[in-house]
Amino acid sequence: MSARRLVPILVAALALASSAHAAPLHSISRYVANADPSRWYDLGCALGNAVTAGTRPKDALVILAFGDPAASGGSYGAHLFDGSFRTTAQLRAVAQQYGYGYWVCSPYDSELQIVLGTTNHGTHVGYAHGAAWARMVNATNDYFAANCCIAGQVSALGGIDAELDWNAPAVTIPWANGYDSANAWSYIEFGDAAGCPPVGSCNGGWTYADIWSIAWGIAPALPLPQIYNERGTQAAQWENIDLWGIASKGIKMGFRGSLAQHQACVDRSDPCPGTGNTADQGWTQLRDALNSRASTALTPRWSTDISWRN
Amino acid sequence: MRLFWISAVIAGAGTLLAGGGGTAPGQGPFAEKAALEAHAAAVQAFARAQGFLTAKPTDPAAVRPRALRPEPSPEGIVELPSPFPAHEYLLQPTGWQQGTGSRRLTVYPGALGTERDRGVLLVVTTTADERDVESYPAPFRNGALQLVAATGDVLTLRDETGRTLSFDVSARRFMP
Repeated sequence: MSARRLVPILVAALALASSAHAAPLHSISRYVANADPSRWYDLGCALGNAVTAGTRPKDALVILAFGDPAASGGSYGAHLFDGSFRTTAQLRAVAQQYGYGYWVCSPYDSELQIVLGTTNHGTHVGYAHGAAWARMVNATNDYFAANCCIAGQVSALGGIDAELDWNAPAVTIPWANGYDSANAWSYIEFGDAAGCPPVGSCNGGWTYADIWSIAWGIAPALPLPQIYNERGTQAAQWENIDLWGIASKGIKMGFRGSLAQHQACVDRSDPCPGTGNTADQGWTQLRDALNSRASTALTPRWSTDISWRN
Repeated sequence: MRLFWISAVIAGAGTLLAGGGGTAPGQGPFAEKAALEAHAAAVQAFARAQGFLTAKPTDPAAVRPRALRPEPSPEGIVELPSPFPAHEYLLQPTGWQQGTGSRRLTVYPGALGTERDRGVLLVVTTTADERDVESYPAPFRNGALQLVAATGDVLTLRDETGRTLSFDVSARRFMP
């Protein structure tokens, strides 16, 4: 092959290599069914040890998915995945001990963001719950700051798994506004964009403007979407929402990472046909979709996979 | 203090905003968004500076909190979050649960995410080592199933046409 023919091939290969970062090591997020803080101390410590061993990332984000918004006896909280109601104070104890266990067992140069996640599923989604959730996140970070020196490595963020089929924007967006009314820390939106183009039209009466708002337009919102679909459909949906935001609002979305459910499928011996992306596959799909255009180009920071075990 | 952070953002913290490459309007939610990130970075930097002077505990077990006494999971009709994405199973917020020793049986009513007219019951068995999911499609294509009542482990359900049907959890079958 002549040198003249090799040059364009080399240039193309170099361009590909420069944009094709390998997927980062991923963390394990969890559907919380156990509210014993000592168990979460152990899981945090185990993560810290895994970071030391090099099997989990030094820069990690973990979602503690606490379940649906709930209220009982004048207290806000969540219905965990074992069906129990836990107050925000009890949930905060879980997150605090997870962070503390991590701090005790991890190397100094590592970092963890703990997402205290809820959903837009159920009948208690709303403004007041969002505000209570923000106060819980604030208090968790106050604990990390007050107990030297957890805050040097660990911080807490809010979180919502906003799925278009679970509740309408008229119910869900007030939760985010409530969070925004009381927060000192951001929240991660780890939901879906079900039905949206290129599939069809967005489900549940949601518009691009609604999805863009809850995932990015509302001040504390940071997107880290579910990228479960093995054919890349969800990555393409979020790329489209990003393009809409650029065209309509003049700003691109700052995707922070991707969420997979591969571990949850393994945990329940479910092949999850079509939706079993590994964390690496999900992250790579999102990265590739965003980098398909210069206007949306971005390398997401985190990759996480959710598990039923705790 | 808040004004300080917002000023810093307007001075050029666009890279904070979109992970590099974003353009940051100097006011409104995007200034606040960047201020939140700057605040988080400042808290972390302050604590890190303190951390260099503080040794971590050498024995993680010594600082482990005491375990709480295990509480049984609630039984009967309970509010349940969905551990399944809505495009797989669109589940109702109310299900049914029964515990036997360390084994928990949870029933989620709803519909298939891909065929909304097909009601479904998911029966999930949880033990310390195992999670098993069984799926029972409703006998008629009358929309999502909703739990109405439970007598023992026989559940009364209603579909979207108002038709009621029963499900025997022990036998794992719908009854006429």
